[in-house]
Amino acid sequence: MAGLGLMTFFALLAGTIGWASPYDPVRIPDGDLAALKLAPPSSSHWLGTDHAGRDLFTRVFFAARVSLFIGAACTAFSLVLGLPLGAAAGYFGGWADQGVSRALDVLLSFPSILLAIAIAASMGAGLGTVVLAVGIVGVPQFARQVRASVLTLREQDFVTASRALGAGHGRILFLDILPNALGPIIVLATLGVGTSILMAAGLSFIGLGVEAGTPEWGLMLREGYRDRTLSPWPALFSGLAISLSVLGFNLFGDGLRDALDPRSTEVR
Amino acid sequence: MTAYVLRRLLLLPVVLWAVSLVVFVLMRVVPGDPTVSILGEKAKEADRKALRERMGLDKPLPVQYAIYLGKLLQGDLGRPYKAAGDTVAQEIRRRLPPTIELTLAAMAIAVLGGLALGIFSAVYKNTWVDYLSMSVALAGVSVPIFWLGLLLILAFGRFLPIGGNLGVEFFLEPRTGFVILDAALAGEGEMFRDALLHLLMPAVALATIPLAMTARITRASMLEVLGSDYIRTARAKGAAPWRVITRHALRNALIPIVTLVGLEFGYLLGGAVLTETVFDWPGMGTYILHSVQNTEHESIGGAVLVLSSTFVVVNLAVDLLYAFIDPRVRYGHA
Repeated sequence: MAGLGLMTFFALLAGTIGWASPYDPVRIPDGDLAALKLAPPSSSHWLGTDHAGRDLFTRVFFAARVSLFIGAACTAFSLVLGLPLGAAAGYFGGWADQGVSRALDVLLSFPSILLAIAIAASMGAGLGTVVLAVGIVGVPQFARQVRASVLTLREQDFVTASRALGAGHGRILFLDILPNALGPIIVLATLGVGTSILMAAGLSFIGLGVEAGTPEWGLMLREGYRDRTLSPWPALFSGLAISLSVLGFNLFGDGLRDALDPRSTEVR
Repeated sequence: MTAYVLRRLLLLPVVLWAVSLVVFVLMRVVPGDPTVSILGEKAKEADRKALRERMGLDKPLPVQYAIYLGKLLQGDLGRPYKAAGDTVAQEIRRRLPPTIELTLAAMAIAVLGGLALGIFSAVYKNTWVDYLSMSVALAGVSVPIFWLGLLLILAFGRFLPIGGNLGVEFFLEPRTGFVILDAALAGEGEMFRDALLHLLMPAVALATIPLAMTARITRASMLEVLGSDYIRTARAKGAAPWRVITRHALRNALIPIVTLVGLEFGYLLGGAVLTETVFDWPGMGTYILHSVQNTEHESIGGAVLVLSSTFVVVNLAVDLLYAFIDPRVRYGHA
């Protein structure tokens, strides 16, 4: 429940910050920059200001839109690629399984953030690159999970019954097997959003993320890190936003797993 | 057992070859024409063509890959496009030991800390000790490593050195490249202490996530083992409570943890890139960072290849160790 609360908190503030805050998240305010920039938290700027004098509270929650979108988009990318690959490998077995499993093994031979860095570096920084790089890195996890679930389910009686009734592969796979394999996939997707936010922030932190100026947590943390001796607040609050949102997804994912998996409740 | 070990060893070159192919595609094929970044966008087409010929980029891709692979086998990882001086291999030879040093230190903290936290949580299940440990572990997997590094700098930056792996006042003749080991070999106590202090914050920052993962797995694994009949028997025979936990339960609970440690090594190698950036640690991470900033694809490719190959070899070693300590794992009998 705490996880759901955190997720709702970020989603609500991200959705309403546009009209709730009097400040612009991107435009550099007029006036004396030296007086405005890197101000500590105050009644007019609850979390202080960044290096360009912009309100941090507005930027942190505006950035939630970008970062949550990146997290969701990367996970969706991993799922869209991983699900059919894993399903085909698990259902058809033989060469399909060998081919998919070996390709996944190759991807898993790379430490995940290194593979993301290599993909992002080869394509050049940008939002699309981040989604692609982090999304590809997540494919093996989904594919393996789906494969394992399909392998177990394809031997079940209800599948044999469906086959005996003359159902084709597509019908068996998509209407009989996959709906029953959804539980662990939903858990993995929830946890995957948190992991993707972390990894995308990592890419931004080393300069391989979204374009400069975009309100995004990783990039804000990078800028805050640069200004840390002048003011710790920008780095502190953007890092805190990443941590709390990822914690939210992790808590929610853990809760879902416990709810869906009877064994884990026994162990606990 | 021998057949299993042999099969895994024979597969190793195949995996390494596949890794090299991915790196080649990512660093040589996807980025497009490197002459643009070397000569600039305004260079004449004739100059570009000449450079492409000199670099062998006018040849078909399979030929280029064969040449690349041939050089790799001789330890030649290429040369940075723009920076003069050392080859990629020379630079990596200098920067790999500090990264391994940081990774091993973080691994030690993660395994010891994670085991302790996990065991305490399992033994004191559903008490405040358990809730606190698991809350710390859950927070640990949610925090970005570079933010944690920054928090450490803000909290302890006044007391501990930041930047580099040794104070500038020291001069150390590199023997192994591992600063702590070199300082110990040189018999320089003060230098050894300084190197340890430099290592402390980056290692703690890097260790956090693996420590949290180890703690969670250890707790689950210990809880499963502590519920088994042989533990009840040991207790019934009057074995001391901590003896039951350390001698009877932990030994069997360790099996899944060994696999996790192998996976964590990969995480640590990757995480080292981000940690080194925060602490300006002179290893592979800062090398990758500088190469990214200068779009030096040869250098990025070389570094990614070496780190990934290290990961592959370590994972193989862990898998073999796993098969050794748990006979059920020798595939086919699992």
